[in-house]
Amino acid sequence: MRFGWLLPVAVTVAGVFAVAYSLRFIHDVFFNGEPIDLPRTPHEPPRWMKVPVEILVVLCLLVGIFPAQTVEPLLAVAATAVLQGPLPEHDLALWHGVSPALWMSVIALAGGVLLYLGRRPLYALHDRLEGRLDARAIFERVLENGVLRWARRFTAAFDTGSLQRQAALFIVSALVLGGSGLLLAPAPLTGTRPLLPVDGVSLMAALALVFATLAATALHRQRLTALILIGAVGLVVALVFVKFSAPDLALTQLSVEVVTIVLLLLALYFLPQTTPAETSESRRWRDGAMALVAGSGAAALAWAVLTRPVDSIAAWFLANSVTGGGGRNVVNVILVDFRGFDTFGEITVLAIAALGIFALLEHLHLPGPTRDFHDPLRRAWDADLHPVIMATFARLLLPLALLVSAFILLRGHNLPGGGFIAGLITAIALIMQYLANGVAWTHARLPAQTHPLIAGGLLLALLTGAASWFFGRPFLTSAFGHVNLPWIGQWIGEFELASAMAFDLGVYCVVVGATLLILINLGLAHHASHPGDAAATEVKV
Amino acid sequence: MEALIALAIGVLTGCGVYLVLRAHTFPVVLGLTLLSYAVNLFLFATGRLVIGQPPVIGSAAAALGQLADPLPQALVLTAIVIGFAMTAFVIMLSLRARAELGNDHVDGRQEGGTQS
Repeated sequence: MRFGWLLPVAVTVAGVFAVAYSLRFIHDVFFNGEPIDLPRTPHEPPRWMKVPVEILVVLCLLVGIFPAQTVEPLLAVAATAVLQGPLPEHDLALWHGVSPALWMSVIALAGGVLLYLGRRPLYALHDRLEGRLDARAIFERVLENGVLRWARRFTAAFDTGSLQRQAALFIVSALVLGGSGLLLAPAPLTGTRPLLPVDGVSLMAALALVFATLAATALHRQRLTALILIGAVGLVVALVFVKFSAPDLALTQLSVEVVTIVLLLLALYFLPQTTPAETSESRRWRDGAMALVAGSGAAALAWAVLTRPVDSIAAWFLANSVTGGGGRNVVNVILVDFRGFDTFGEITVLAIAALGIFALLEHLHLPGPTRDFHDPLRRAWDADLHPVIMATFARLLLPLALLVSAFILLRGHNLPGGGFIAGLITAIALIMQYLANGVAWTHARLPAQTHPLIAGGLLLALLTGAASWFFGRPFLTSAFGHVNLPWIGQWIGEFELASAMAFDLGVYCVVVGATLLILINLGLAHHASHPGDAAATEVKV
Repeated sequence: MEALIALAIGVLTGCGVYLVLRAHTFPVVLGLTLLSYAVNLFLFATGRLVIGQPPVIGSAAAALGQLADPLPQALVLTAIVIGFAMTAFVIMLSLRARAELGNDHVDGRQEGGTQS
């Protein structure tokens, strides 16, 4: 602490000036005779204009003189929240005895009085220096010539308004930072964790994933082909989750894959079907090299992580899931209970994304392909937009799919499932009706109140969390118990009821609402740009 | 088995990076999708690979030994759903750009200056 004296000295000097200008205010306003050089003579304000000021003055005096009795409890709460632990020893009072702080105050007061007494020579000095030494001019010159000019130069060099360039810069910086960390680290790449043996099926799945990914990249200019290949990649990723003990993730990945592909297919309808070749071959080589480095780096990092033993906090979650959260599916208990606040934030993000998409799609007129559009192979559109077998089966499947999603939602606390997965399954079941029967038909039968659904889900999750306040617990503390209903109990037996289930129901509503909002509105954009098609559909059904 | 997962993550990342650097919106969205697979797999892999031990207490597998790490699984589960929302938002942005600008170049202008 060689410079430990610097801060107290700076505070005392600042105090000297504060005392001097306060003295100037008080002296000039109240004791220095009539005001001079003013355009109009001020008068006393009416009584009630002074009352707010007086309230503030009284508060200042009270807080200043009796801090322990006024602000101490409030400060203690705030400080405890920041420190996340017991507060250090402290004592708020006006008089602490003779201490260094008192001497600092004495110096500041005395210095301020002296400074104010010597104000006339200082004013004269100011008059002489005026125009030659202007702090504002210096400040503006430094800002303009130094900071702003360099900022402009920097922006002009790096921000050309081209996303490709921005993305390339971003990836190069990530590679440089990550690569230097990987190469400069003294640790060996391979850790000590014993490896799992490879079996034939896994090898085939991994090869399928690698092949589909490479093919999608190589064929990315044929957009539909690339999209189908990406779908295959997503399915293999779901299989990876199945293999490595993550049934919840596999279910989520599988259902998200379906909605993603439907979404991208719908979007592809409005976009050109092929990508024109890029002019510059050097750029393709440059991007290929960057991709190679990024891929090798990610693979090396994953290998280094996977081969090292892990010291995880998992044991705590596994040990406390049943006693603390009342559920046996630890992943779901983490989502709705231990880390419920995170999940609440995530469904909020989902809701905001859905509303943002709704705003983006409003009044959007997209030039989709017309009826006489032909693909490169000269194939015409299928005249049968909604094949009757598919439409009938989709309608039959709807109640079954909804039943499955309710089952997945209810069992989620104890077995793989939960609000996210159930919401996606419900959304897929409803989207299937739109796909098989057409937007107009389904829209007439299913009043898709997605906005209230999203809002209701968020509100339910929030209220479930807030309910724990009434029991003196922190936000989102969950409660659970075993319920035996009076008459029905003899048939269904005792069952468990956890407040986390209400939270999960909120998650479910937000997921259903957001997914439907996104997909239906994109479908309706098509409806708006092709009213003829919709009319044909109505007649047929 | 670890090598296969590392290979998969590497290929997904490399192809994702290549597609993200393309000049038209649809390949960029596909690239982001591949990158999100890679990130999800990587996050999941931080819990290490465990076969046949899903983190469900009281299941038949639970009696056998160490269950899989549930925490990365919970994080990845929400990441998958948020990833869908992100993909949806980006693709809508590209549709809007196509409607307003008349082309699907990421910078809103075709190379060579011809507006399609």
